[in-house]
Amino acid sequence: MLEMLEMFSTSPEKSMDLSDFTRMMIVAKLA
Amino acid sequence: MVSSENLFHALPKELQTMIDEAFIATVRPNSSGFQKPMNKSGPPSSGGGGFLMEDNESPGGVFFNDLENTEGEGPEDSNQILLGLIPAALQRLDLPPDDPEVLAVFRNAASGWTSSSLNSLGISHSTETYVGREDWRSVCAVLLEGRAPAFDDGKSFGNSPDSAHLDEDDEDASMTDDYVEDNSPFRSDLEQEGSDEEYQEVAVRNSRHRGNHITGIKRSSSQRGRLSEEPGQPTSRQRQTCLNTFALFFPEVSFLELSKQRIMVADIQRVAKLLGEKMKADEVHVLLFKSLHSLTADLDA
Repeated sequence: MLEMLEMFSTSPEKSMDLSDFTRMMIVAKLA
Repeated sequence: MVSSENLFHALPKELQTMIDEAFIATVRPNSSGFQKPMNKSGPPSSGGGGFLMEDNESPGGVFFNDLENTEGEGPEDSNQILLGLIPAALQRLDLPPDDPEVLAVFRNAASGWTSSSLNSLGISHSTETYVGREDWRSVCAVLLEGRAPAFDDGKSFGNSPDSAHLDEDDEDASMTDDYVEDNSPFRSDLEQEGSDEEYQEVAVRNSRHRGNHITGIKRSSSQRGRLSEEPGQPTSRQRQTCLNTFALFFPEVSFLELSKQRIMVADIQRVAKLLGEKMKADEVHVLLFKSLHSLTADLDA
């Protein structure tokens, strides 16, 4: 799960904001 | 039983236009799709009238065919779309770009199509297959048939100049039942503004076309910029779905505060714990995606 956060997070602390989350959803074809 | 070919023409004109517009915009990402500089010498009203979105007299297919003739391009350029561009075109219609069944249909449709110009040149592009516009229309007609009643219902509200936009908003409201705000059919103008950015973009594009028609000024460069941005951008439905799914991580946070939230590692662990299972990192990955997928499916249902 750290990898997943790293993959899509745009911030150094590996957190995921809504825009990152949206990007992840689309890349993962969930949206 | 209406055949899929006739189904397209049975659709509301707004839907026909949307389907053709998605096709045109995807086939020609580097052009406005509606006007070419080579038409500059002609009077603005001679060729421009046929392209306009607000021209309710002509069905969508007719004026696009006219367009092809006036531009003097080979029909294979305008009537075929590269199979690889189909997902992008589907996304313009806010359809899932990766539905394997839909893509399989397009692959079948494309198997009979190859670029005649490439063949005549003897260039081997066997991997590049094309989908004809009629096939695109037929498949989209089937996929979008469910939206047709929303358009028909919208017409009953009146024939104001903005009725087309109302139709689009109503259509979207019927497609997604996961809106946070109240989407009653009698929404105020204020609510409409915030309801659907994607269709507002459509409206902006349409109004630009009107502007070109009236003033005769070519703005193909600005339209080009707008169109090229779209495929990478999430549609309004995708944004809404993501927002709803994002909200599942923060059940205690109000929607207004949601955009300020960030999913931290601790949140992932909390969610994993909530699911009541101990998992290795890989399993979290898989399960998280699966659970998100099922939740998304529920939201879309």
